[in-house]
Formats: sequence, structure tokens, C-alpha cells
Amino acid sequence: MNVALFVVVAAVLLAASISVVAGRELVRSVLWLAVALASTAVLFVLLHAEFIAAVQILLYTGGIITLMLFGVMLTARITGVRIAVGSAGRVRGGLVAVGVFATLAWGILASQGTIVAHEPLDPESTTRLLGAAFLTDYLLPMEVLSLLLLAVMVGAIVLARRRDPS
Amino acid sequence: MTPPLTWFLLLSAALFSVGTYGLLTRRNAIAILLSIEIMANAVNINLVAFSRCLGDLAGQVFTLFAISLTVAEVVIGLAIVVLLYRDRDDVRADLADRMRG
Amino acid sequence: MTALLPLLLPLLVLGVILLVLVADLLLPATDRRAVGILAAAGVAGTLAASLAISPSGEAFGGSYVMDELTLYLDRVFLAAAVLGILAAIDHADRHFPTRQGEYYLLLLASLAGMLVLAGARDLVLLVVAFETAGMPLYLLAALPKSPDGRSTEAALKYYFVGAASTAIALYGLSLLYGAAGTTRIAALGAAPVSPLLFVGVMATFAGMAFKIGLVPFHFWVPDTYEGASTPFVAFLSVAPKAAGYAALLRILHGGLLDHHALWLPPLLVLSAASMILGNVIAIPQGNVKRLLAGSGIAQVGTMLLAFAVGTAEGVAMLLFYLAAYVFTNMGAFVVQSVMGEHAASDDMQAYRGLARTAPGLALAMLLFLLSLAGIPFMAGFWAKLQVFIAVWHAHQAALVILAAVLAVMALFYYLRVARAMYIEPPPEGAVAPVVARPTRVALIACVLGTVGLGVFPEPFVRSALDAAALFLGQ
Repeated sequence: MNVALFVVVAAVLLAASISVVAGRELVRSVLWLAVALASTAVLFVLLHAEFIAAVQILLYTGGIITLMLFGVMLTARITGVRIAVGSAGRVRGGLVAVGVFATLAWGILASQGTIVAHEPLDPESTTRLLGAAFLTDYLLPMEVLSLLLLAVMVGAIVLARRRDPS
Repeated sequence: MTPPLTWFLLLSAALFSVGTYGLLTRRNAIAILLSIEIMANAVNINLVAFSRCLGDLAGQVFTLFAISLTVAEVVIGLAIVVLLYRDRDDVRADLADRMRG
Repeated sequence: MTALLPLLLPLLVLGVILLVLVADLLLPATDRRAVGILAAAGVAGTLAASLAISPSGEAFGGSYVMDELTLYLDRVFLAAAVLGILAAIDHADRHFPTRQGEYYLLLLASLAGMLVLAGARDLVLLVVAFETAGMPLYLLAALPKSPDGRSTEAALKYYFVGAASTAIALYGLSLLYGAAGTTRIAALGAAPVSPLLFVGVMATFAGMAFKIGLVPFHFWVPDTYEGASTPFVAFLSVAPKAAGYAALLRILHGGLLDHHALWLPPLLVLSAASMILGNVIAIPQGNVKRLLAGSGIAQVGTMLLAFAVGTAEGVAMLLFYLAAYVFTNMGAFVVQSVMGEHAASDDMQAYRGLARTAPGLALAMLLFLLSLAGIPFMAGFWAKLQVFIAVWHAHQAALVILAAVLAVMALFYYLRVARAMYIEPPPEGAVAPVVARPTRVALIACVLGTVGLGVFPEPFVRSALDAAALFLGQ
């Protein structure tokens, strides 16, 4: 049952992700991303990480998709930004992507069995343990993250506001 | 029963490669941002799948931090994209003023 | 309270952040120059404190450690931040007076991230600290607007490279976590050697190498340096590189030294490629910022050589190189920020006859160039020499010879700037560029550092050797 569900969700996820990068219409790409992120949440439920699934829906699917739609609306006219040297064509990009996948798949398939499976976490108590971890072992990264979020908030606001006359 | 770990890892690898393809081929700023999101999402699948297989909580903690970092990153990206948009708009406005005067 | 003692330096920087926020609030929008001076003074005070304290051990269950290595790296970051703030004060006051406070806030947040990063012994903490060090830099790159609007495009390019490299590094780290079954770096070495581990290490390295600017992840460096504001580039050209090496030291040397044979060959290849391509990029440049960008790619390549050999001597010389690089490279960019502002262009032509119009500034630039080239009695000479010796001891003689030949070649383009300053006559009616007081302080500190490390290298080399030996337990 779970295996069948995995296959269906994985197919949806992969198809949605391909639509995101291959689509011509930006708004559709954003909506496909929403589908991809939501189906990832289903995978997390399959893996008994219910809390992560909830965060995935709330933060990613809710927050990021909204932000992205705003972004598309505000900046529809910007094109021509290149990231790579001479922004690879479809053929070169495709070759690189296939190469990346081949390397990763080789790493994964050739290492089967080196990872020893353990008794899975008890789904009942995972969320409680997560909460405790954030306030004990992982308190320091939590605090550092809060500083980062402050800086990002201030920085984003100051960029979005009107500029000084220069 | 849950599908084996390898399936999740291969799916994640495929998603990461799809994101890489978008990163290399798209030119629109938002589209590049979307491609990076696909890559970041692949990371989360890896982490949660490992966490399940290893019976270790750290993977889930890692995922939550990774999600927060990605959200912060998107905010920065959109702020810069909007800024770029307005810069170009300013340029157009300047031209319009000069042509009038 | 004593439980937080190892985090004293980041906490002091947090205090400076609060002071900056309050000062920014109290000062009138028309006169906020004092905010920068306050920030510089606060970080300088923290640097002084870092010289007075000694390593105070672990915190948060061992996920963070203040050891000799952390302390050494923290001093490098703090020095870079003081210089970066001082160099920016005049520029910020002139070009974005009402938003100076935010500029320093972002720079200080990045600094706090770096200080924590240096001592991170858990992958989660390391990633969060690394991103806290990195993300404010995207915003800093976008904040000062250049008249032609290129700074925003440069910032966007830098952001995309940064965000993509973060995704790559995170992917690699997720594989490392899976292969080792833990996020504790010290326990990574227990993972069995497998293709998965190798792919994880390489993806992690690639993600970090983007931010350091190593070949083949260097393509963004010249464009971003050229487009972004020069005082920011001064900071960008040293601090994130040191942060990248700090993260790599913690992961590869701190956790995966047992698997040294796994990562040595690819790193050596990339080091050679960086040294060669960096010089190739720098040689034809007429734009000083692009020239320094190419030179920087070559310099990080040399550092990677010291990093890759995996010995305590190599790590120590990487640390010394980083310290020398802060003063030398930032010095060169600070001079360039003055010249770029004066001539409204980053072309080398602006330097013609500078020895006659502004002899002090020309001499400072000459010293920085000589140090970058590795001429004796400059900081850069000892840095290069010691790296070569360490790499020689690690039986990589061929790479030492390659690096030495390239260092001689590099002399050619560094001396082109010197020739413009000292041999070519100044253009008609040339006047000396104005050097604001904070910028002058930064320049003097850079000169003192460059010459000081060149004439009295022993104490710095010794503390680097101590830090490396204790870190690797050798």
C-alpha cells in the first residue's frame, strides 16, 4: 500500500518539478512548485515525519508560494539575467543534469548496504523530542538563526524602501 | 511497510538534477529562484529519509533548520529582484523626463 | 554564566549590534557617520578582548568549541571586520547616509555568524552559522547603489551563485549525515568509505568552493567585484574566503582526516587549476578590481594547496596566509576604493603618476602589491614561502614548483600597477585624491599589518602552528 502511494507521489513530484523548470509561463511554474512542495509533504508523512510535513505545508507551500507569486507580479518584465557563463543552452544544461544524476545515482546504488538501518523513531513522541532538541542540544543554532532572521528582515525592508538620492 | 531508503535517495537525486537543469538553462530571475527551490527540496527529502532509516532525530532537526534558511534566502532573493526591477524602472523614468524637457 | 564563556566574542558582537541599533535610532537622519565609528570601535574592542582571552573550551554539549583554532580564526574575522567597517564609513556617509546603520548591522551579523562558525563542531550549527555569515553579504552587496545601477545586478548574480552553492553544500552535507549517521563532525570519520561518502564530501566541498571563489566555481568573482561597491568588496574579498576555509577545516580536517586519501587528489587538481586560471584572468586586465579578482582566485588556490596536504604544518600555514591576506588584500582594495571614488572609474589609468601627486598612497599600494606578489619582508612573502615548505614536506614537489613559477608570473601584473604609479607621468592638472580619516586609519592598519607580519612573522607563525597542532591532535 505504502509502496504504491510512494510511486504515485514520486511520479507527481518529479513531473511537477520538471514542469517548474521547463515551463514557459512563470505563474504556472510557481503553481507547479506548490504541487511539488505539497507532494513532498506527503512523502514526509510516509516517512512518519508529521511535524516536518506540517512545517513544509505552512512555511514552504504557504509562505514561499505567496512570496513567489508576489515576485512574479512585481517583476514580470525582468528577463535576461544570466547566472552561468553564457547561460548554458538546453543541450548543455541537459548533459550537465544527466551527469549530475548519474554521479549521484552511482553514489547511492554503489553504497547500498553501507548504511545500517536502526529502529525507527516512535512517531508518537517525535514531535515532543523535536521540541526538546530545539531548546537543549540545538539551542545555539536556534539563537544564531534568530539573529540571521533579524538581519534578513532589516536588510530586506531597507532594500525594498525608497533609496537615498544619489 | 515504508519503501526502501534507496528509492527516496534516487528520487531526491533526480529532483536535484532537475533543479540543476533549471539553474543552468533559465534566464528569468524568478525562474532561477524556483529551480534553486527544487534543489533545496531534494535536500530535505534526503534528510528526512535518512532520519527515518537511522532512527535518528538529528535529521529532522537539520531539515527544520534547512527549511528556515531557505525561506530567509528566498526573501533576500525577492528583495534584490524587486530592487533590480525598480532600478530599471528608474532608468526608464529618467529617460522619459529628459525627453520631455 | 560561565557556560557561555566560550561564546564571549560572538556575544560581544551582539552587544555592538544593539549599540548600533540604538545609535541609529537616536542620531538624526542627516548625520549618522558616528554609527560607523561606533561599530568600528566596538569591533576593535572585541578584537582587543580576543587578544586578551585564552581558549575556554566547549559549550552546548560540545557542538561549539572555543579552542586555539577558533580563537585564531576569530581574530582574523574581527580584524577583517574592523578594516571593512573603517573603509566603508566615508563611502556610506556619502552615498547612502540614511541607511548606514543597516549597513553596519548586516556586516556585524555576518561577523557574528563567522565567529560562531569558526568553532562549530556540529553540522547543523555549522550550516546555520555559515549561512548567517553569508546571507547578509547578499544584502550588503545590493545596499550601496552605484550610479550605473550595476551594483544591483552584481548583487543578484552573487546571490544566485550563493543560493545555488548553499543548495549544493546542503545536499552534500545531507549525504554525509546519512553516511555517518550523525551530525557530530568528530564522528563523521567513523563512516565506512563508500561512493556515497565520496559524493557527499565532493558536493560539500563544491558548495564551499563557490563561496571561496575556487576554479571551476570562480566565474562570478570578477563580475561581482567589478559591480559591487569597493569598500564592500574589500570585506568580501577576504572574510567569506576565510569563513569558507574555516568551515572546510572543521569538516574535512576535523571530521574526515582519516579519509584524507579520498579528498586529496581532487583538491590538488582544483588548487593547480585555480592558481593557473586566476593568473590568466588577471594578466590582461586594465580594470584594477578585475585584476585583483583574478589575483584573488590565484591566491585562494595557493591556500587550497596548504589546506589539501592535510598536515598540521599545512593547516598552520593556511592560517598564517589568511592573516597576511586580510591586511594585504584589504589594503589593496581600500586604496582602490579611494582611487575609484577619485577618478570615478576603476581603470588602471587612474594610477598614473600617483607617486608624485600622492606619494603616501602610492607607497601603501606598492607595499600591498609587493606583499601580494610575495616579495621578501612583506607578509605575503612568508605566507607563500611557508606554504611552499609545508607542501614540500608533504611530498608534493611538483605543485610547489608550479606555484613558484606562477608567483613569478604574477609579479608581472602586480608591477603594471606599480609602473603606472611610479614611472608614468601624472596627467595634466592631476590632484591628490582625498583620503577620509577613517579610510586613512584603515590604510595605516593594513600597512602596519603587511609590514609587521613581514618583519616579525614568528609570533604569528607560532600561534598558527600551536592552533593547528592542537586542532589536529598532533
